Amino acid sequence: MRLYYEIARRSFDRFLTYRAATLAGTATNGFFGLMRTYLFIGFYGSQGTVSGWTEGDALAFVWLGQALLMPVFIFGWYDIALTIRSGDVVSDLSKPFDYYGFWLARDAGRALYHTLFRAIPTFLIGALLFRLSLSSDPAHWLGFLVSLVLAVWISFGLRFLANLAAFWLLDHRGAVYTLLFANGLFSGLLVPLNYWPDWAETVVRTLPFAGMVQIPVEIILGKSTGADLVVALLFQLGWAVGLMLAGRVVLALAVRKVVIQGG
Amino acid sequence: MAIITVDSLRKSFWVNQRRAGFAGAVRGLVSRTGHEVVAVDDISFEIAAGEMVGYIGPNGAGKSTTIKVLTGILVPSSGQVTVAGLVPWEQRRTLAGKIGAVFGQRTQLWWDLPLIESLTLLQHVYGVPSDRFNANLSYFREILELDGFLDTPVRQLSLGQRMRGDLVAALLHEPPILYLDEPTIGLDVVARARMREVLQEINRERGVTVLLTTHDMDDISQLCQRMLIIDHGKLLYDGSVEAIRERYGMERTLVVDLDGSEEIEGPLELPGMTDVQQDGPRHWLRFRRDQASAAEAITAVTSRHRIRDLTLEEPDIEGIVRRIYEGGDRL
Amino acid sequence: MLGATVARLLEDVSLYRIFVGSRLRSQMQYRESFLVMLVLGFVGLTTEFLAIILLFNRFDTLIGWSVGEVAFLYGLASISFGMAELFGAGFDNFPETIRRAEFDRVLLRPQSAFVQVLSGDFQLRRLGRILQGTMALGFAFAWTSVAWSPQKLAYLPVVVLCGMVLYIGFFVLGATLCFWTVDSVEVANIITYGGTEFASYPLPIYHVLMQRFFTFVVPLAFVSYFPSLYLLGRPEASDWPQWLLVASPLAAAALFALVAWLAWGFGVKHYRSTGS
Repeated sequence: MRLYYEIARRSFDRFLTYRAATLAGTATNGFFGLMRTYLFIGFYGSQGTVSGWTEGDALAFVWLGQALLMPVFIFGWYDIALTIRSGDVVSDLSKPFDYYGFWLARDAGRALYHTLFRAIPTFLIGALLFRLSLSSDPAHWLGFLVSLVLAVWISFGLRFLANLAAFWLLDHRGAVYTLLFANGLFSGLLVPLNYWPDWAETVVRTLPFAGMVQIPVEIILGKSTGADLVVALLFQLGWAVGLMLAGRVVLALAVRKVVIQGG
Repeated sequence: MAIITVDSLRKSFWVNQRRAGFAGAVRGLVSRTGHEVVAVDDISFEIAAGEMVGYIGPNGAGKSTTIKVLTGILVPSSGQVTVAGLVPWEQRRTLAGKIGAVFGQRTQLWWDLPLIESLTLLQHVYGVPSDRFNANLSYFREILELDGFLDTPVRQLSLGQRMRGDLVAALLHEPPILYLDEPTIGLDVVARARMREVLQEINRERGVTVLLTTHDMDDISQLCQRMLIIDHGKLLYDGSVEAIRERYGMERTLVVDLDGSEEIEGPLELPGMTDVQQDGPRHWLRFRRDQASAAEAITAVTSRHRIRDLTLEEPDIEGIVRRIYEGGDRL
Repeated sequence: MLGATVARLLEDVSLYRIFVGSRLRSQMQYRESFLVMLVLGFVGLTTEFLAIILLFNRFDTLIGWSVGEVAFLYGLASISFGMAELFGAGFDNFPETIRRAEFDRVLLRPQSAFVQVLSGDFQLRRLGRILQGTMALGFAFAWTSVAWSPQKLAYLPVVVLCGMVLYIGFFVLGATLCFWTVDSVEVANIITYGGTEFASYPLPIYHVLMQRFFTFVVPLAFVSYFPSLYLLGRPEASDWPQWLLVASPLAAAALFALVAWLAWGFGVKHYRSTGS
């Protein structure tokens, strides 16, 4: 465990050196947050509640979405695919640690950094400028924290799988690129799932992407309470574990391919 | 007839104190703190058409600043310069057609295009008529032996091949003036010798005036009759290569590690050699090329002492500049 | 005098074509990779458009603008931005040129630095955004009941060109900043990329300060909003002089291009006196 803690800490420290990029990134999130805020204000006009959300809910969603973007990492992530292309993956695989655990620890370090230095500042910009309706129940905030951790884990599981595709595909970008757009759309980041047509919402809510943005946001908005909250967290946990198992199976297949074909 | 004249050239820069981080960068846009650095300080020289001149000095001496002024990239702080009858920074585009440049560490070619494609692009950039282009290309194909790699993308070329490609790229438009910045850097011995031969031929056959900066003393001594030495922005020397070679280039240094069993305090006493520096068992023995061959020098040491290891150091530019300073020489 | 200027301009245009042609040939060497990225780019951008449609599934209008009208704004902004990316990406990519100290090479050649940088990074896969914008425009035509007079149809490509000029002008300004500091470029990128999203919705939804900023400082409102008022026959502009509305994108593009051009010249001059 100590090893993984050290890996995570290194990863966190490495991000600490990108201060200029962090500020510019936060400014970008802030700008997009502003634009989307006015978009929802425009859409709501004088309507009170649409699809179960008030304007305040929608604005809270906008800023939470901009905040979660980085910790949950909706963007393209090629770190493992690049090591597969360069061949460094072979030496990583032969090191005396669990390969999945190694990358998960690195991603945990990154996510912590992005939570502290990207998510919180971005969210504060929104919270200071606009009235966001958030739950005042501490249980919901606690649930949100757990949900956030699970969201990162799900996101990692998906990115891990998409990166492993580089073992089989010639172009290492394709799978990651596809995931990137699925992330944006199906997580609810672009349009919250409750605004989708009912049939589409039902389908999309069963996918792991829902656990990345929609579910954490609904928890802190106070939209899922009591048993619903527990079910939501279990849904996330189920996907996180399921994706981890899938990742390990695919990794084993990849390793066998490397061993047989020599990379 | 001087093709390049430089009169009292001076170029100073304002160096900003870089502030840390993003906020620093933003503040740096508004207010400036820093200091002035004089890169080139009152330099004057003339180069005649058809000459091949070495322009040397340590890193940061002001060489590349001078070259950038001569090509019209940089505007000087003061002084007069004419190149091929033009004021470089005022007539950059006209002048660009009259000069070729090779920067050893940076290619002028397009990374992902085959060499021939880069050359055809440059034909259009420089507006070279097709017949001249074809004549020049076949000339260089022969003397630079390009045929093996004309269709290879530049990124797949070896360093030596790439340098040859860069040289063609610089000469296709038949410029009367060629600037070369470290044209042999990183090349192996054979490629280096080949490059020098070609440069000589171009200078001789086509009358191209060449200004060459390099770290390699051999480049200078084999290619140039005349050299300019610059350091800290000032011209230290303008004269024949021969004089410098006689004075400093003759001196080689044999570095020997004595076998540990011998106990010797102080400098070694050896005929024709001076022990200029000692560090434990290691001694730096200076001798003159015209008085002893390397083999003779080694014999002189090994006949008196048991040695474990040795290396022979040739004089380099840094060493010569240092010695000019040490000797307080003003040449 | 005029003859010489025209001759030089023609030379610049032909050089641009030659550069772009060679970049195209080199990209065709990796045809599969190019096609994959083109398709993925197109699919990916479609999610943006899908988002607009999804929101209109629950909301009837956006301050009185229908889904077709917003699709029209989105299409215009996308095509203009896509064309700017396609034809002027050398400026978008300029921080890299400066970081790798490649601008000296540009200045060593007997051609305009502007044209050389402009043509420096032509990537055909950026067609994805243009295709996608065209598709959105197609939906907009189907979903709105605008009477498309010949004048309006002829005006449409003019608007797209003006939008392209505005975006390229913005790339040029961002690139000019690089002559002083490469770090600030990320801030410029915010407006560049945020700018397409901004121009995809009707201007009045935004805070009045943002409206003014994007009308008078960075005139992205002329990419889509003002021309759409005329083209879609929106009531907002019914009591404005129509000629003013029609001329405004042209004036904005010309003015902004001039500003960008002057700034670029100033930046190059700065570079040539500092070399960094």
